Amino acid sequence: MTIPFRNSADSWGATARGFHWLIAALVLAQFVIGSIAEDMKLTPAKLDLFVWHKSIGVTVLLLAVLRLAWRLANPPPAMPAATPPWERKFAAAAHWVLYLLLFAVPLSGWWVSDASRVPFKGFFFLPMPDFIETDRALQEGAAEVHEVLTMTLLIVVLGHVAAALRHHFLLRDDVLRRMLTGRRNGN
Amino acid sequence: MRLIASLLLSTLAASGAVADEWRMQDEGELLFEPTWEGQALPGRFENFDVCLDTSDGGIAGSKLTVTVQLDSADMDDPDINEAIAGAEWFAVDKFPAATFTSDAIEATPEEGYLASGHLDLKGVRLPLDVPFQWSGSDGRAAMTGELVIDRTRFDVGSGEWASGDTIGTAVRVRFKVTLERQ
Repeated sequence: MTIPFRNSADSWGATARGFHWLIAALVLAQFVIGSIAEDMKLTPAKLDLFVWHKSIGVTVLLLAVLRLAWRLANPPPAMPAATPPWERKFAAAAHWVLYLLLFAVPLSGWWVSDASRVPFKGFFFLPMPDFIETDRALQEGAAEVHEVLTMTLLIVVLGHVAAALRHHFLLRDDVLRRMLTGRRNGN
Repeated sequence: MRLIASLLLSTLAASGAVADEWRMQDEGELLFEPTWEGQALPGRFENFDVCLDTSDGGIAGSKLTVTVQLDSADMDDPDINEAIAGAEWFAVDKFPAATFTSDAIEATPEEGYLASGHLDLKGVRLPLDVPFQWSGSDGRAAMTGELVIDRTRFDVGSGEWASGDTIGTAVRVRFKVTLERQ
């Protein structure tokens, strides 16, 4: 048996599921690390946490590029036949907002880091490109943008989770199952 | 009283025993460069003073005094500046200034000088050697130099910062000052 890496007409392939759950785990970790680090008083541990936060953020950005390319090259499985047209449109729009935020949140974070005085090496060793001059006002503005985008992502992700649970427990279709296992109902 | 004082002064001047001092001019630069997660992050002291007393002859044999106002440390970031003024770093409330005083200055084979003396920093007084180059004419000279100080010897960056994993323990110090004979 070969592992189906590509999406089929009615379910997600291993690659799409891998991207989905890996990015989901990293985004959750980012939210936790970022919130903890921000509230900490200035200690070496805080500085280290921010290096991890920025490193994982750049990783998410890179994964988002690959994931988007894969998504564009691989049509997603069809929505359940019973889905009304307004819900199809709403779901499609919500998913594109998620994709957009997977780029916008890391990029805004990078913007904060780049405008700040603090030097940054990815995972403590990778030199990162420096695009802009140190600028305190810009750093603070970017930090606000990063915060607002992060909160937006949190809200959209919560909606995404709620919708998945609705499909699984209320509508009893295979929308969640096919992202978890790649299998359909009854297969 | 005033007359006596001025008489005394002129007598001293005539005898050549008056202090022969070189003092720093405005354009001086004193930089310190720690590392942040392995990368250099330079800062500077805005307020400091350099004085070289050459009463006893040339540069070799003179006396160098450098006073640095620690609250003038500027790393170009308000958060970092606030942090380094705190108790774990410079503790500027308790120790507003650091002073280097030379005990001896000798010419080195590399056409420079070495001032060996003591640095008073954050309540710690320890021996320190400061190498420097001296170039200039009669009344005006440039003094430049560079050295590395282990900040932990002076308890700068105490507690969790002492390990040097995030902020390195070796701090490069660079200076470039112009002095004028008074």
